[in-house]
Amino acid sequence: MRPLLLVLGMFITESISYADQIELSSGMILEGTITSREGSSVTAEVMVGNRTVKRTFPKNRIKSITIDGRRMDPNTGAVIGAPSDSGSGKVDRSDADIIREIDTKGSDPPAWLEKTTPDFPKSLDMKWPQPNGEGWDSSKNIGQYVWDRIHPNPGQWRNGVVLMHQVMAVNPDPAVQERAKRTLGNMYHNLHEDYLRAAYWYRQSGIEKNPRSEPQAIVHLADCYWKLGSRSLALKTLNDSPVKPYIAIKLLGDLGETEAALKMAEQFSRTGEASTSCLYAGDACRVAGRLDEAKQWYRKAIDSIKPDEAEKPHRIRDRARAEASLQAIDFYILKPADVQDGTYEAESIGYEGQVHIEVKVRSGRIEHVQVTKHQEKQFYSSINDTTTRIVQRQSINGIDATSGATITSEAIINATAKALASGKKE
Amino acid sequence: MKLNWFLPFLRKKSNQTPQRSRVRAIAEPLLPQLLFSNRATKTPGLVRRTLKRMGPVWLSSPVRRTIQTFCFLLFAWLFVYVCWPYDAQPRVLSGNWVPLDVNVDELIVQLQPPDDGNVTLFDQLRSGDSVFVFTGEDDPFGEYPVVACVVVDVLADGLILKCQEADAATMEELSLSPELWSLSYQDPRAWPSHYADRLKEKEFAPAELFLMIDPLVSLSTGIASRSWVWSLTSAAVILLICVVIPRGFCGYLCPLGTLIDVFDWLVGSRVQRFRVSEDGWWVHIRFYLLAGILFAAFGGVLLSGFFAAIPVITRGLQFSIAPIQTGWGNGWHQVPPFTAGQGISLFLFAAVLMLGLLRPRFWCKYVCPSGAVLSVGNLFRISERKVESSCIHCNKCVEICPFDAIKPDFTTRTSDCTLCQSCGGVCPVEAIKFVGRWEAQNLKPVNEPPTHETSIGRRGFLSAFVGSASSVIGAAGAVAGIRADDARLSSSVLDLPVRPPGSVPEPAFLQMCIRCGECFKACPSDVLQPLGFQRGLNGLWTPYVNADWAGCASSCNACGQVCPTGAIQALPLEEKRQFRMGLAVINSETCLPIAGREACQLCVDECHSAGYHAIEFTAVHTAVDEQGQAVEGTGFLAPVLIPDKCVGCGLCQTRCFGINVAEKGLLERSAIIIHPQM
Repeated sequence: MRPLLLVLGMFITESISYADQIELSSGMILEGTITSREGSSVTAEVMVGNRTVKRTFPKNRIKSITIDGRRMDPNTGAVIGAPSDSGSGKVDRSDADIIREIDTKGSDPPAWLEKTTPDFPKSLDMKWPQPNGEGWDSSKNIGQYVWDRIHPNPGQWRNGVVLMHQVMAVNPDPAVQERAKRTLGNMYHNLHEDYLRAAYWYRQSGIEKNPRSEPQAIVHLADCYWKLGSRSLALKTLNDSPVKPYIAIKLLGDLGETEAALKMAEQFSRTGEASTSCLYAGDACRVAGRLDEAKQWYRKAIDSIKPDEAEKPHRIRDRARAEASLQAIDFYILKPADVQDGTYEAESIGYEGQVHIEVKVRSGRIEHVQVTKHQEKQFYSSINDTTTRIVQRQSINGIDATSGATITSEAIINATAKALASGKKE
Repeated sequence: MKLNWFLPFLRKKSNQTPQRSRVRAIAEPLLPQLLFSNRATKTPGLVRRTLKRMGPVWLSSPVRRTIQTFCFLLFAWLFVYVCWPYDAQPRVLSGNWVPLDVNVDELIVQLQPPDDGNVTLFDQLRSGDSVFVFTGEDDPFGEYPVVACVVVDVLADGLILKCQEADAATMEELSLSPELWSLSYQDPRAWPSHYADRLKEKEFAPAELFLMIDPLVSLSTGIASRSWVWSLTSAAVILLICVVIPRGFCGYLCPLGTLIDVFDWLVGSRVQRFRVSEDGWWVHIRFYLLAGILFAAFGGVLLSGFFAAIPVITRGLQFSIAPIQTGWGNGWHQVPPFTAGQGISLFLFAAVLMLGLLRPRFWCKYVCPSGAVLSVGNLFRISERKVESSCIHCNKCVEICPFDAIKPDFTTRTSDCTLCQSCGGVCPVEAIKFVGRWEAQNLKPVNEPPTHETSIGRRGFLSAFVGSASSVIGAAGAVAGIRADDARLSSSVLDLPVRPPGSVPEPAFLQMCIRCGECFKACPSDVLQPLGFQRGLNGLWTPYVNADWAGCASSCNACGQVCPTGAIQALPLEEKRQFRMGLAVINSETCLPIAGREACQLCVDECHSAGYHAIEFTAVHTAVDEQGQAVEGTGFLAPVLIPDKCVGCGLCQTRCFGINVAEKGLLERSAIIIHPQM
C-alpha cells in the first residue's frame, strides 16, 4: 500500500508540474525528471521531502516511461498507447476505467491469502444465522467472532479474510453469501486498507442496490472510490444512497464538501450521535484549514455529551479525542518562537509511571529538555536520546521514538509538548 | 620435588649458606641491582624493603599474597563488572537517513546521514562493515523490506552501500518508499539479544568461576539432587591441585579468606579482648558441619549454601554491595526493597567476619565446611611442609602461621597447613622446606619440645563424640524440619514461586540451588529476587520472579549462564526465549476492561512490543442494537491470553502493577499474574 500512497501524495503536491514517469513492471509508478536512459537502465531525479534524489532501475524491470506526456517503451523508445490496466491510482482515469479495474482486478486474492493458515475455533457455526437470537456468543456466532477477535487484533486480520472465504465455500445460502461479501468489503476497507478489493467485494454484495442492509457499507464504498481516484463516483454513490449514516460527514469533509458535511453534522447534532458527528465536523474544518471553526466543533462535541452518557466508553473516547484534537491544533501551530522565555515543567504517563520533564526556552529556542523525575526501570537510552534530539530539532514534531523505548520516548515528547503549550505567548 | 616459592633469594643471607637460586641467577643480570639484596653487606634490596613496608606476611611469602590479591580482584571483577547487566546497549538503530541515490540495477545505494545530529552509526561505520537498511517500522506481519548491505565507501557526507542478495522487487519497494531509511547493525526483524551478547563478550572467564571451584558447592548439590552437577569437574580439578598444594584453595584462591585477612588486619588486630586460645572444642567444628551438611544432602536437603565459603561471600556482597552499585549506577528507585531474609544473610556474613575477633581467620581454620572438604582431601597430599634439624626453636614460624598449623614442636598439623609458606619466609635458618611427602632428609626430631598433644585423649574422644552426634542430630533435624515445612505449606501450583527461566522443576530446584545470589546480580532490573520465609526455611534466598517489580527481558539469559550448579540451566538465548517459566493468568473479575471499569491495554501492548504476541484483544461489553448488531464504539477491548505463546516473562504483570496498582491505585494487585507451570 505504501508505494500507492506515495504516488497519490505526489499527485496532490505536484499535480501542476508536468513530471516524467517510470512505470515499473510491478505496477508502481515513479514520478520525477528522467535524466538518463542510456544503456540498460533508466535514471530519474525525484523529490523526497524537499530533496532531489536519484533512482535508477534496470530496463527489464520497467514497463513504460512517460516523457513530456508521451508513453514509450523503455528499450526502443517507441510510443505506446495509454495504459489499459494500470494498477496505479492515476487521477486521469475515467470513472468507467476505475469500475472496470475494480471488477477485473479486485477479485484476485492477495498473495498472502494462500500462505495464511486458517486459525479460528471449530465451534463457529458456519450457518451464520441472522438474527442469531441467542445473545452474544463469539465462540459460535461468526459475526460476533469477527467483531470480538478479528477486528481488534492486526495479527488476525488475514485470518478474518480466510474465514470469510471458508464461509462462502461451505454455505451456499444467498443471504449468507451476501453477508460474507459485505464483511470481506469491510475487512479490506477498514482493516487492510485495500480499496480495490474492498470495492470489488462491496459491489459483489450488491450494497449499491440495497444500501439499507448496512448503511455504513455504502459510505465505505464511496470512500473506496475516492481513494481509488474518483471523487465523482464517491459523491454520486453518497448522493444516490437513500440512507446516510453520520460517518458520511467525515467522508464529505475529506472530499472537500465542507459545507455539505457541516450541514449534515448540524442535523446529526440533534440526534443521539451528536458528539461523534461534531467530532467529524471538526475534522472536516481542520482538513479545510478552518482551525477556529474546528475548535468550536470540538468544543461542541464535548458539550454535547449528555451527563447520563458521560461515563459510557464510546463517549469517554469521543471526549478524549476531542480534547486531544483541541490540544493537537495548539501544538500544530506552536513553535518555540511562540513560547515565552522561561522554564516549564510537565508530565506524561510513561512505562512505569509519570515521566516529569523540564523545558527551558530562551529567545525562541529550546535551550534544554531534561527528565527530572521518572521511575522507568528499563530503556534508559531514551531519557537522554529523546531530549537531546528535541533540542537538536527545536521541535517535537518528527522525533521518532528511540528504538525499544517507545513508551518512555513518547511520554517525553508529550510532556514537552504540554510544557511548551503552558508557556505559550498570549 | 621442591615447592619453595617464598622467594628465599630475596633475602639477605648469611655467608655460610651461599645458595644461589636459579630464579635469581636468571633475574640478576637482567634487572637493576638496586632491586636485589646485597649478600656481602647484608643490605636489603628495593624489593625486600618494599615488601617489608607492606607487612611481615607480604615479606615472608610475597607470591602467596600476590596470588591472593589477584584472585580477590578477579572475584570482585567478575562480580561487580561481568555480572553487571546495565552496560548492555540495545541494538544500535539509526533512523532518518536520506536515500540520495538508489541504483536498483547495480544494487548501489548512496545515503546521507540524518540531519538531526544523531549520527552515531555514521561515525562508527567503516568500509567493509555489514549493515541492514530498511524503511518503515509499524508492521504487524513483519513484511517491510529489509536488505543486508556492505559499506563500499564512506564519504565526507554520506555512505555508499552495496546491497547483498536483494531481489529487484524489494529494492523497488525500498527505492519508492516515501519514508526515510534506517540503518542497523542487527537485522531489525531478529529478536534483541543485547544482554546475552554483552555477557558473552565480558565472560573471558566464567562469571561463576569461584563458585564452581568451591568443592562443597558441587559435591553437596550433586548428592542432594542425586544428579551429575557439571561443576563437579572443576571441583575435582581443584581437589587435584590441592593434592599438590594441600589446602591451597584456602591459602591462595578463596576470596572469602582474603576478605577475612583484610578484616583481621583492619579490625581484628586492633581488638584483642575477644581472643580465645588456639585450642578448644571449636577447632573441629568444620568437620562436624561438613558431616551434617553431607548427611542432610543424603536426606535430600541442601544446607551448604548457608555455610560454604564462596556462596557466603557472594551472597554477602549481593545483599550489601550490589544494591549500592545499582543505586549509584542506575538510580535508587531501581533498588528492590530490603527484606528480612536479606537481613539474616547479612547478619550471618557479618558474623563470619566477626569471628576474626576470636582468632585471625577463625572461620577458615575452624568453621568453614568447604575448607573441611579440602582438609579431608589433604589425606592424599603428595607434598608437605617439613622442618629440618637445623631448626633453632625461635618460634617465628608459629607466630606468623595464619592457620595455627604449626605444633609447638614446629612440625606441621597437616590437615590445617595451606602451604602458604609464610613460615618458610620468616625462618632465619631456612630449616623449613616444602617438599614431597615421602622425601625425608635431616628431619628435626618430633615432639621436641613436647607438644602435649595425644592422638586421641579422653577430651578429644568426648568432643569428637559430641560433635559427630550433633552433626547427625542437626542434619536429621534440618531434614525433618524442612519436610514438615513442605507438608505444612500449600503444594498447590498457584502458591509456588515462579522460578527463573530454565530452572529445573521445583523439588529438584531446591536441592540444586546453592542460594549464592549470583543470579540476582546478573539479572537486569532485578526481576529475580530472593525469597524470604514464604516457602519455609528451604526456600530462603532462592530466586523467584518478582513480576510486580520487573519482567524478564527477552534478550537476556544471564541467570542460567551464571548459575554454578545448573539449578537454572544455561540455555542458549534461542531456547530461553521459548522456555516457559510460567503462564499469565488474567483475573476476569478485576481486569479493568473486563470489569467494565475503563479502557486499558497495557498488557497487550507490552506483550506485542516484547515480541511474544501472547495476549490479544477481545471485545467486551459491546452494546447491541435491536437487530442484534454490535454498536460501533461501545464496550471495551479486553486482553485474552494465547497460552501457546506465553512464556510467563511477567512483563504484562509489571506493567499492570506499575500503572494500575502503584501509579493510579485502581487495583489491589495486578489483574494479570504469572503462575508457575508444572
